[in-house]
Amino acid sequence: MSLSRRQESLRGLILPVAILLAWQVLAWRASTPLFPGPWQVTLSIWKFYPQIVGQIGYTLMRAASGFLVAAALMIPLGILLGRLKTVGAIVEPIMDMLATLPPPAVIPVVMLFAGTGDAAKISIIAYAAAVPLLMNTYEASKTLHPMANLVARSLRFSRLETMLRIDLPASLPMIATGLRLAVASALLVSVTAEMLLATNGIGVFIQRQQENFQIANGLAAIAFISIVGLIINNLVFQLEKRWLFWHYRSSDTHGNG
Amino acid sequence: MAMDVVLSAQGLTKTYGAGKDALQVLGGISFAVNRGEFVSVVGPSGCGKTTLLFAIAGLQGVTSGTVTFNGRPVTAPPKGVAVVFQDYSRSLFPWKNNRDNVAFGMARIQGLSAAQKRDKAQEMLDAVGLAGFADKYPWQLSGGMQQRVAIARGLASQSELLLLDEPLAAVDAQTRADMQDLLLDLAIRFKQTCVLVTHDVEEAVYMADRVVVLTRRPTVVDHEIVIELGKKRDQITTREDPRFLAARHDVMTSIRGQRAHAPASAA
Repeated sequence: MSLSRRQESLRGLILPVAILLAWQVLAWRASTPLFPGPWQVTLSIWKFYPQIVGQIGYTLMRAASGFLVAAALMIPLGILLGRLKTVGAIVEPIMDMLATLPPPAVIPVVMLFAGTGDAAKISIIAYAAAVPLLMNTYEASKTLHPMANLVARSLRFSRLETMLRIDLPASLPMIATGLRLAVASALLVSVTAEMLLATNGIGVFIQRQQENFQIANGLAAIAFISIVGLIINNLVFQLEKRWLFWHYRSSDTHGNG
Repeated sequence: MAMDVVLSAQGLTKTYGAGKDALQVLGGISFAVNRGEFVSVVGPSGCGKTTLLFAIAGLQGVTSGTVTFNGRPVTAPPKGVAVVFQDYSRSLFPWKNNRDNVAFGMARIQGLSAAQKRDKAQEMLDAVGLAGFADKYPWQLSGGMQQRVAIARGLASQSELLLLDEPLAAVDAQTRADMQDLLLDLAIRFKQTCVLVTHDVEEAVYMADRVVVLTRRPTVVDHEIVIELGKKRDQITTREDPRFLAARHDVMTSIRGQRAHAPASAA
């Protein structure tokens, strides 16, 4: 078991290592600072990591704030809309429309009302995270089996109690999917928003470095973001496995997305 | 013997839809259940047995007629009535272990601490023969065992009336016989008043002190028959008893006759 798992993870490394090697070879041949290889990027990471970590801190703080605002508002709203079928049906087309709208497109509109400060950025991030959260929670709540509701009523639960104690846990597997999409979306949009209107954050760092043709430094920051993203994704997955074991009981093939 | 009526249904009708598409399911059903009694309600397929059970549980409104529980009209699920549904796998909650699923039945019971509810849940799991399964989850159990958890939840809610909606329809024949005896034992042990809705004539007669026989749609009570076999039943001897066979013959004849008839006009 442990042997095959090790073999599997080794196999997973083949492609990345091959790409890094090819990249390095191409970079040597090009031999220009505009096309740095992985070695130069590693040197940049070494040189700039205190600065990169500091800037990522700003980015993550804003991403987390926006994400939390979205989760706190959209999960209850989704559950509620799923229960109120008529209201849900009225709101659904708007949700579908917003779902296809790229969040960075709303940045100029938000700037008009909220300026360019943290409030504006957090609003945009919250909006980006809200869409997948609302869609998934609403869909889960809407499609709950009517049996759960019958049981709740026969146990004489109030509407609120039913939503909290039955609808919410029963919707959690789909909410988790929404949360993962929302995390990715929040990170993406926080970096984009910084590039457009921030004075700090990793997005700004990347932009400055690239404007000054410090491509290796920019790539170093990008490498950092991907690692942070990977860690966060893994964290979410671990939490999911822990809280939703009852949902994955029948499939142990559920991979780490 | 003084009869203490727990549940009474008077002239229940239920029509789904309106106009041309209107479908009258219940055509004016009246019957009563006395305290401590085990009443089976049996009828031909599609006669609206579940509609009737949901109506007396307060889970579904009726078009006309009244249900009273302990003398009070039922408009919503009343305190003291528990329901065991046919679909056990969906009526239990997969994120709760079996003990917590049973304790969920006591969620709205006041004056019990969380620890007392836990103890009571454990006690009820013991009663249905699942003492060692409290920490397991419903999805780790077989269908019959899951339905036993649901029964334990019904019993735990201190119900004066336990409504059973075809609880054994989805379990295999052997499990079904075991569960029939378990239900009868529990009914005696907890002096539990029960209404069992079923399409299975043998089960209806085997379980009940009294059988309410329904007609086809629009459904009314065809007749009632008292089963004079005492509280203690046995899968082999009871089923061979001439009184059992006579009652079975009576109910079966009525239901098969209903099936052959042209649609009867509503009563």
